[in-house]
Amino acid sequence: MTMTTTLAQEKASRPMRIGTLVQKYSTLAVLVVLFLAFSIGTDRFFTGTNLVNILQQISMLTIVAVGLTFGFAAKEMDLSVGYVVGLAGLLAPLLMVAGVPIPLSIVGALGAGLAVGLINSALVVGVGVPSLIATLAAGSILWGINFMISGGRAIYGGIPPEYLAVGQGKVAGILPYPALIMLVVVAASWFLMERTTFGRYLYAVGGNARAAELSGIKVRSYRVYGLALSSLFAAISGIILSARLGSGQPNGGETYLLDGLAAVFIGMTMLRPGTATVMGTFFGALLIGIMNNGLNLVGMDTYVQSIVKGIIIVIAVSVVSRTTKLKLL
Amino acid sequence: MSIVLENITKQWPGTLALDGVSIEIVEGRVHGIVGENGAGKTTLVSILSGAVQPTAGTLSMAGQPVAFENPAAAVANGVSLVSQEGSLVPHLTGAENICLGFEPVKSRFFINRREVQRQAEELAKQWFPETAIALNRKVDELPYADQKVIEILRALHSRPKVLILDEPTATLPAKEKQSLWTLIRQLSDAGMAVVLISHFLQEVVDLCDEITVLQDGRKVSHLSNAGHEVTERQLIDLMLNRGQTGNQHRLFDSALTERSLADDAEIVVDIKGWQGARFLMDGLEVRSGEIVGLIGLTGSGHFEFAQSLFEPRLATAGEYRFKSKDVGRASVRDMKRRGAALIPDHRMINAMIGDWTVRENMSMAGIQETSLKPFGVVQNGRERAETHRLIKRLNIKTSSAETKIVELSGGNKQKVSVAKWQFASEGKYKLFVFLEPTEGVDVGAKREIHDLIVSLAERGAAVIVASSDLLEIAHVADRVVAFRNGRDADQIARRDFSEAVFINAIAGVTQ
Repeated sequence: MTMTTTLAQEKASRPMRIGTLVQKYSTLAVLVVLFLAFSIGTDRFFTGTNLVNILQQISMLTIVAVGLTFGFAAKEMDLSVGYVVGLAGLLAPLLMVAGVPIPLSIVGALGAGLAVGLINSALVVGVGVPSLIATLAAGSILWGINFMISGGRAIYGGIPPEYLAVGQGKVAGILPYPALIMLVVVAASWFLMERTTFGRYLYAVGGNARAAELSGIKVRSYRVYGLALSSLFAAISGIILSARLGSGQPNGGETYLLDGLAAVFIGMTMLRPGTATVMGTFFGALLIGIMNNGLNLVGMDTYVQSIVKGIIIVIAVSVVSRTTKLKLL
Repeated sequence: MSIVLENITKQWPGTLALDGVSIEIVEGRVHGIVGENGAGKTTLVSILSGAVQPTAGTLSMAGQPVAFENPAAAVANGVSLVSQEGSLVPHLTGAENICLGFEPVKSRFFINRREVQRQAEELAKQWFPETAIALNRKVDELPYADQKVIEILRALHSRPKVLILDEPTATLPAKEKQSLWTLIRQLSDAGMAVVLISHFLQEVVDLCDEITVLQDGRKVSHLSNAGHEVTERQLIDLMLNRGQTGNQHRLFDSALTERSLADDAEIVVDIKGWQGARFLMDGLEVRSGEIVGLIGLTGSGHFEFAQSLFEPRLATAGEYRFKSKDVGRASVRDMKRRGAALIPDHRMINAMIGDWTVRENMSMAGIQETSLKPFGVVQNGRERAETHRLIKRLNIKTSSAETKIVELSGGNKQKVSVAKWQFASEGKYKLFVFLEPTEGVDVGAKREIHDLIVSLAERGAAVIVASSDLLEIAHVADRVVAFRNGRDADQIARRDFSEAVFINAIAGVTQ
């Protein structure tokens, strides 16, 4: 019986392994194909300026998406990130316009983001509301708050130029600060998730909460960390956004939720299929960035871009769902 | 109409749930199916009711082969199931639940509510004339007993020829049990074939005309009980006895040499009046180096008690001292810190992360020990080295440390579950609690797991093993505590071990 069982299992697992291989690299292949196609299709794509430009364009999205990845790792979904981007992007300019020094304004905006994350996790971990619902409601509340504190108008005038440099300046005249911040955030997050016990425990909680608990892991705490980091990263993104735009926008950042989720889903098809990873998410954001940038350069309308993006998400999630149990709730 | 199952086999990935089981269910008779958890009862019921397809074997009704591709097909062929729990739609009324899926309509589209109510009432009057149930109320507002009646009426609505009752009395108070028993007799008198799955052996013995006993997916016995000649004790014997011969009173195979225990061995576990929702332990002391086996029928509380030694929050009252210190209602994390470890049952649910590799699963509880403080930077080299050491030491058969845990056999998964508590933690844990340590483990690996358990004790740990495999308990334990009805009932010393003594203790028969 033992022999037959083992043989049967081997037989079953072999084609799946090939499938996994195809899956692991198919997203990367799409990325390469897109890259080559745009390079050949338009001479404005493969230039140093444009490649740096892409990094700059995806920086805020990537930071939001990496934040979502922490939540996903613990099997929590955060639908409030878009509005947290907006909140932080409004708060920092508002504080500065009111005369608060730059560092304090930034800390205030980040603190507000973190506070949202903690309220979300109090609802999810403390009360037991599913994260999907708790953060959806939080998003709705934040949307209202954003319009309330801004009076529905953009906040500008009186923002110090040093602050604007965060979004508009460049290192050595080449690498924009947002791109630099993104690279630092990605590298630090990768290290945290892949090289520390923190990351291991966070994944354990998402992988099997009961097994994690019976192994002595603080399951509730890690669920809080996942949601808190998700909001904190969205706030970082919001600060860059307002510095880049030179103003605080009441409805800034709303698009980052969907694009961020898309980046995470695309990332889940790579590396460790079915699991959200930092590098996977980064590639996901890169794919979206290259696609948006390239389609723009070849003169495709934004609504077509939206359709293409939707199709890519469906394909990515279909690929993941076919081979792994993709459970989000 | 009778239904015949021939050589039914069901192979799940990694486990053989049913192994060539043949059963004949005859009209006008009540057929009891008994066995311990994991014996295959649930799988058998699922096959009979069309929820699961057998890997091999045939079903036939009235001599004609049939295949139930889904539950609807089974119902269409006259086989109805009353499942163990919660098959009702809570926000519909009793009558609506009874007619669910077979609603009478008017104008080809609209549900005829009056007719729904009428049909439900007629069924209720026919089968439960003495019970008054508000069929027009939402079922979640009704007591359990009424809900059970509605579940049964729903099964009867399709006028089945075969009715399967899976643990029908588990949630019922005594009086309602009585009326259910009456109903079962009426149904069989009316010519229906009734299949009764139950843990309550007394009711099986009282009600059934014939009884099939399952053990580890095999049919070990089929008894005729037309004159109620079968006893509860006889059933327990058949369910638990894993001996090769019929000699009930022989000693177990293993040489019953008693391990000597140092007089000054530390008392690791000290329990007084420790109780939870489903167990009560008057008193127990377990010393360092000692292995205590816990036995009992399913639901008798020994598993819950064992679990509570690692999860004290499961207890509601009593005293638990661990290494002379009061535990109170400590968390799992706290118990781990004090030196307690649990190797749980249902390992893929309670111990493992299926997506993870052998290495990741093995290091889950101890990775902080091989990581750089204070930020817990994982040292890949040390983690890998420790994994390889344990793979070699516990003789875990895996193609590599990076193989996914789901690809391992049951025995090797279980070894990883044990290795988890030795990962960079040799000697740290003073108590090991095992629940069903060889569940889904094949014979060869069983022995290795047993040796592993013994070696933990020899190296100074106190060990508690709760298992439904009596041979296993006899093999590893220094003494045994038998549970009955949620309480510790008997203590058995190793020199007195025999299958007969164990079964007597479980069944509550004193010699």
